[in-house]
Amino acid sequence: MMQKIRMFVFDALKSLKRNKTITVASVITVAATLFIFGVFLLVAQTINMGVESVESKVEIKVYLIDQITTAERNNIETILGSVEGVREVVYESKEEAFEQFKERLGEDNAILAGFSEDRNPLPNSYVVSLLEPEAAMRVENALDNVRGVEDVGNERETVERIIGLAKIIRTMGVVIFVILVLVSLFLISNTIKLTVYARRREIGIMKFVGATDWFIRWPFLIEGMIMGLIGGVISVAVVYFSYQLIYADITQSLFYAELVTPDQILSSFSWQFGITGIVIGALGSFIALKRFLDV
Amino acid sequence: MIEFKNVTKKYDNQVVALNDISIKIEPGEFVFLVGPSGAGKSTFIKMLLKEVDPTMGEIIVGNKSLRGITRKDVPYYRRKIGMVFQDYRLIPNLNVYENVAFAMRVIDATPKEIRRRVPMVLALVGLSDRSKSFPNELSGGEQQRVSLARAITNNPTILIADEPTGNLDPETAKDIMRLIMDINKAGTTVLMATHAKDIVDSSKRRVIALEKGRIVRDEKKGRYEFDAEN
Repeated sequence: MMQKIRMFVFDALKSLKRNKTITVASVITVAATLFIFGVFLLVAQTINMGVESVESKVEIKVYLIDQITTAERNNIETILGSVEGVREVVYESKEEAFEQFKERLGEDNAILAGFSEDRNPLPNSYVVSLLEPEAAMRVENALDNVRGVEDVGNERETVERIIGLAKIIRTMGVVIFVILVLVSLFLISNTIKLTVYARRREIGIMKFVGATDWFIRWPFLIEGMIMGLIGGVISVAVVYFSYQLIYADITQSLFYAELVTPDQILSSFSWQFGITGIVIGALGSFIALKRFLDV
Repeated sequence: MIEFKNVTKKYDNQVVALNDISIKIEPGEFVFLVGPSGAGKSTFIKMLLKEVDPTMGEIIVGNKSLRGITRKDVPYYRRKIGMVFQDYRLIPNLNVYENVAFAMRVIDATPKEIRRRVPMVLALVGLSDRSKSFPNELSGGEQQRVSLARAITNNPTILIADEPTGNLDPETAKDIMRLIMDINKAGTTVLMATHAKDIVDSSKRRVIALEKGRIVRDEKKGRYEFDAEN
């Protein structure tokens, strides 16, 4: 068995060397495809992380009427506690709300001059933070017609827009991934087809002396996998170094803590790209050989 | 050994290559398959190799119907058949020894078996001193010997030779024929498709003559007896 694997790998390497130009072209193709994919993945991941952090920060306010009773408050608290997707419920008195508002206005707080702690237009409220934006609807429904609730301040449009954006980004990611994989499959299989074509006599001889399809296939599959792997490694290296170059700039100019770090590229991208490259290479070879083996 | 029962082959383009062929070849027999181009010789051989399947009828090789052989089992079936072609079909970047060893490697022979067997068959075809040469350094006759060595190295029960002397001068052709006869004497059933009138007439062996997809003659010690067109 080991003997056979060694032989297959040896054959594959020999063929790669023999068809140097084609080999280099294929490797570059895979590397380029995976590089584009990598850049896209980085952007998508960054946006995704951003969306996730926004998503996790989504909160809604439940405004209470001023004449609320303790029983009504307790009731509302129980209801909020039972809604799925609610992370935390914090009571915010009208005084606290006033202070916060003032603080948020900062230097512009002069417009609040006419108001004071006792003449406070803001209501008491519950600040409900959510695990997922979808829970906003559920909170709203649960509090429908509950006594003591003035209004549910739901930033529904914002929430929906965030959900929509996240969905678009994820779908786009999948679509682009599929397209790029198909392109590299096509290119690799064409490359392997050239080497298969160059060796078609040999394959014919193998067939009539009684070689099994897999015996014929393995060297080509290994050839494809080696090309895919090298392409994957190159693309990771290029993505890593170019990202490292711009990473410092981005983090400085963008006040945005949650970015994919260059180290993450090495730790997760590297093996993902390696495996993707290998799979693409093997599949490409398989497709290329199909026609030649049908004898 | 080989039996065709009412075999008809009609290709997709409606050409009838073989029309209701029935024939029986016994183990150890030597048979010439003759006939003008397009008579159906190639289809006959391709069906024996299970490269194409008959449209109607049945082919039995060594007590086994070819119909029962699945696509997956075809390679194992082919190992029982040695093939020789007019154009030798050697791998140009392998030397003589490697070309023969290649056929053994393909069927999972151990390196030890290969080391023992290859020099033996090379001696048999008289090429012991050329084992390091590459195909392009050999004459046509020598190349055909290599291809014969490759064909018999896995001990096939049947040897199919498709115009083995087609590219050779008469003297060399005689040498190759002598080798094929020797292989037959050792017990291998031989089926040889040929246009070589002299060889057929002087060999006095069984001749199956095909014309337009039908068997027109089948004689124990037959002659070529076609017009010299080919």
